[in-house]
Amino acid sequence: MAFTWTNKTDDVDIVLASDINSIGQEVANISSQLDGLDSTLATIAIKQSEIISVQNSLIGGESA
Amino acid sequence: MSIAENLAQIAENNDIILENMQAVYDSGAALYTDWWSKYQHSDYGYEYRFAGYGWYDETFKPTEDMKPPSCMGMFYMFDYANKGKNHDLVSMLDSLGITLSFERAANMHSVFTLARISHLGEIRQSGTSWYNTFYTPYLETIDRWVVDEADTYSGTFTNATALANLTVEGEIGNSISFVSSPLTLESATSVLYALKNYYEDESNKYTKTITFSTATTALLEDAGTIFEVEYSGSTMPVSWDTYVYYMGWNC
Repeated sequence: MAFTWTNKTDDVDIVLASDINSIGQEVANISSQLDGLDSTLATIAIKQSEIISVQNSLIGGESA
Repeated sequence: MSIAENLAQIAENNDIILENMQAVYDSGAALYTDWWSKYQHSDYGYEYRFAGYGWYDETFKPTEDMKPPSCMGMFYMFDYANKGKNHDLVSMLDSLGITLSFERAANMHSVFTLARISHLGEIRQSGTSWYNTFYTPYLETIDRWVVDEADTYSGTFTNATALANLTVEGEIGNSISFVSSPLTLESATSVLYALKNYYEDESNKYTKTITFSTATTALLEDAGTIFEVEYSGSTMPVSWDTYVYYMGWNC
């Protein structure tokens, strides 16, 4: 059977497009998780500030 | 903020929190000490100071030596609700590293009435009224009870139905009753040897009465002539009731 470059190129294009699509989804997931982490870290920092405020009130100093 | 900025803020906050922890502890400790200091320096002395259901070994944590000028009802119904055991005042004071002395107290009225305390150490007072002082069924031992001939005893050991071990120092000069208490022979002997001698005192002779429980009386009678009196220049062994007679007392 004769070799057809065009068909093979099409196959590669299809595989690449699929991989790129998967990578894009992974990047989207990671980005979403990073947003979640950032939000969590911000919440932790806020809670820490509240703890410091309570500590200061117990010590008799100023609130944070 | 970015993740890096948030992490930096968290690290900074963490340092502050750790630095504050000792100061928070110190502040709490200062409040605790201040509260106890105020509680122990009330205008009312120690009257009813540790009275009631709320006081037991885990709440009784005074921080200073106690020498109350007044102490009526000081331990009245101490832990009467019962937190699972009767309390040893000697051990509690030892574990706190403080002392309790009644020498300055005006009187000893109802100090341990119905207190769930089984063991007392040295209880010393003079010229006082011991009204209902040990009126509690939980008291088993008084290590050293130091009295004075002028002291008076009204209801002192009424309801002291568990009191077995008692060592008396000083002189008992007024009528006293242990009718509810299962005193040991050794304890009863200690009481008898503390009786003031009224034999040569015509105004007081046979005006005072010593009373023991049936159980203690049986022990004394079983013991036979273990007491000694001076008679015509010699020492004579006598039974407990004869000894009481020779001391100018009734029994």
